[in-house]
Amino acid sequence: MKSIRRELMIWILGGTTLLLIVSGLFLAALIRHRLLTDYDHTLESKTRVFATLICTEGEGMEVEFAGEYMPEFEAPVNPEYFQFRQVNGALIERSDSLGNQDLPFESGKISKTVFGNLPLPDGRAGRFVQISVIPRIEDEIELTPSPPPLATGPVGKPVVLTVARSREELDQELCAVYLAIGGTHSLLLLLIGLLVWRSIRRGFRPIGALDTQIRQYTPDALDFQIDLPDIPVEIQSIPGAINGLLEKVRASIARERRFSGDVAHELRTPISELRVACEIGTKWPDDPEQTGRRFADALEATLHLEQIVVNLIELTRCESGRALLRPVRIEVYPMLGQCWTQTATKAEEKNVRLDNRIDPEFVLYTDRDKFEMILQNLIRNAVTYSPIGAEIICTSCAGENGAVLRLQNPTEGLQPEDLPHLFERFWRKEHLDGDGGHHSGLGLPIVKALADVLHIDVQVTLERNNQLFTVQLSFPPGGERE
Amino acid sequence: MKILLIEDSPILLRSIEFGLRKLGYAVDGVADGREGWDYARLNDYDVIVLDLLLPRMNGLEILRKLRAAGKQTHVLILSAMDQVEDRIRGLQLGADDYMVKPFSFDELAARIGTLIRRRYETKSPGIQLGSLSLNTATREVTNQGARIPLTSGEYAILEHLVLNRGRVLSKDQLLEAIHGSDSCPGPNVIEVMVCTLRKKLAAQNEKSLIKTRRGYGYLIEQEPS
Repeated sequence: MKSIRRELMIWILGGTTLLLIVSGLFLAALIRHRLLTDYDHTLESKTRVFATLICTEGEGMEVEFAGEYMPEFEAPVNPEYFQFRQVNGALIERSDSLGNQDLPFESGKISKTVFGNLPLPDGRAGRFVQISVIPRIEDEIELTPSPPPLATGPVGKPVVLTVARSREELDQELCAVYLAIGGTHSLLLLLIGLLVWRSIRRGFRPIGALDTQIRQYTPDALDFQIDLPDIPVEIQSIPGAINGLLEKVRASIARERRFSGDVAHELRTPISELRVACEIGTKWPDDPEQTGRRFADALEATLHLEQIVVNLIELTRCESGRALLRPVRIEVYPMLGQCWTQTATKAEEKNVRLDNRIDPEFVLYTDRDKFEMILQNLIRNAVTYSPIGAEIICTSCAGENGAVLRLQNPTEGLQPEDLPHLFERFWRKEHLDGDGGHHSGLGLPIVKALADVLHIDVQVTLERNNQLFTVQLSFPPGGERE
Repeated sequence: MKILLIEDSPILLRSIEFGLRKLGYAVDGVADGREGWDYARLNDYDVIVLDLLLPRMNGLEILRKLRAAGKQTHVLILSAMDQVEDRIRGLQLGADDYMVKPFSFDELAARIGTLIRRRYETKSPGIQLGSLSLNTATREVTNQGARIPLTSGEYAILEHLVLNRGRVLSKDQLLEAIHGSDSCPGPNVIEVMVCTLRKKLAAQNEKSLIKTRRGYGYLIEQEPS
């Protein structure tokens, strides 16, 4: 599994290692070059001094080498070596320490100073320098820093001098440098590694704490909350977002449970009515009047059940987005009258009246069936919850910002804190309605769901000391009168 | 036996009232919580059948007030709220039984019968009076195995006297036991029914079971002669 911690460690330490290696190599190369240059410079200087020993005498050359003055060439242990040659490679003079071995002769680089490495006759690692010099003429001592190109004639024939000596000291120095660089860099790497590890560990502590808390979450722990003090700014939004999401999930679960419980609850009463009516009718079938009464009760209960089921299906259809819309021109005034007629019986029982103040010219372009259902539910609701002898007032107004339809009815017992619940399914105000009346608590939720589908805004308010209930439907511009 | 039924569903109210009356109970039915509380506190019932979700005052509130007022009337809760915590709450507040909707009417009647027997401190539905047997569950009266056909009103009077044997019950008390508080029966209905009852019992050689106490009422003695 991927790990940020591991990735960071790998990349930081890997990068650091690479940098240290590169810098170490660079440093080593630099020092090596410096040391070698110094070594070669010393070797060359010595060789040039040595070159003054050869002189031209008549037609021949003579090397005025004296071992007692240059004992390093005759030392029995760790000697140095020299060899004089003509430019054609013919030997002029060589040190005895060479034995049978000759020093290298770079015939193609006569005019240059050539350095190189070689195995010395005694097996040690060595380094040689090859220069060309113009021998001095007898009794003339001239140090020629850089010999002119080969030439013969009045200044004499050039000769090639090769001097070699051990480079062990140089190598030891280099080794010490390499060890120092390597050791220092290794120690640095170790310390950096520790520092990085601690820093990452410390930096990841809040994330670890967050992870630990989240691991404690189980789906059954409905009250789970993430609580982390001292959240770093980089993850500050995460606990809040998670807690917010959990709260929404909790609310949704509670709503679903409540809804499932509410549906079951709402169906129990009409089913009870149906069952008892049938049981009583079966038990005492001999009384025709009572039998008729029982059948009527059974029918009423069945219709109540049907209403609940139809309402639920309509709600589900609206909320799932599967509602088909067929916008048509609607004259609202007569539609309201028709809806009122359907509730007339109940309204008469309570002596509730409708004052239809909608402008007869007020028209809408929307789905007829769904809008009619909205009006029916609103009217039914108003009649049910209005006190006896109340008047329901319906008004309209239209303008540039759209149209508004208002339905007002007197009410008792409703409080401002009840308003948000009015659109919850099956919610009913206690003390206003029990569970035996055929009010399913789906009327206003259906109004809201249908209004959402038709893009109508629904607002509810309480005025006049919570005794006047108003439902306002706001239509967007273009949906109202033509 | 007198029952108060507080249920806001008009269909259930009608159906249960009818059924219980057919079984010989006197039933007062109300559909409103506040009205139900008034009936409960002002009258004496053998059993109150109580819905919980009622308009104007919920059933648990009625129960709480009933017990706070010292009323020991047996209460059977009849509710669509079926969760265990709902049942526990109802029983803890003082209900004697809890039935969940939908329910069987026969079961309701049986549980009401149990509560009534409990009121009169008798566990068995069968009561023996000499050779006479009265079964409060089946609402039958037999004499040495032979069934004595009684109307529901006659049975109700006999049952009331038997369950209160040793006590004199007035005509009004007997009238309440067989009719609801709102009914207005004729003035002599008790005498007529007792007379008819005595005739039927006399046919089974039990004519002296029901005694008259002039000016007070009727009783069945603890140890019938």
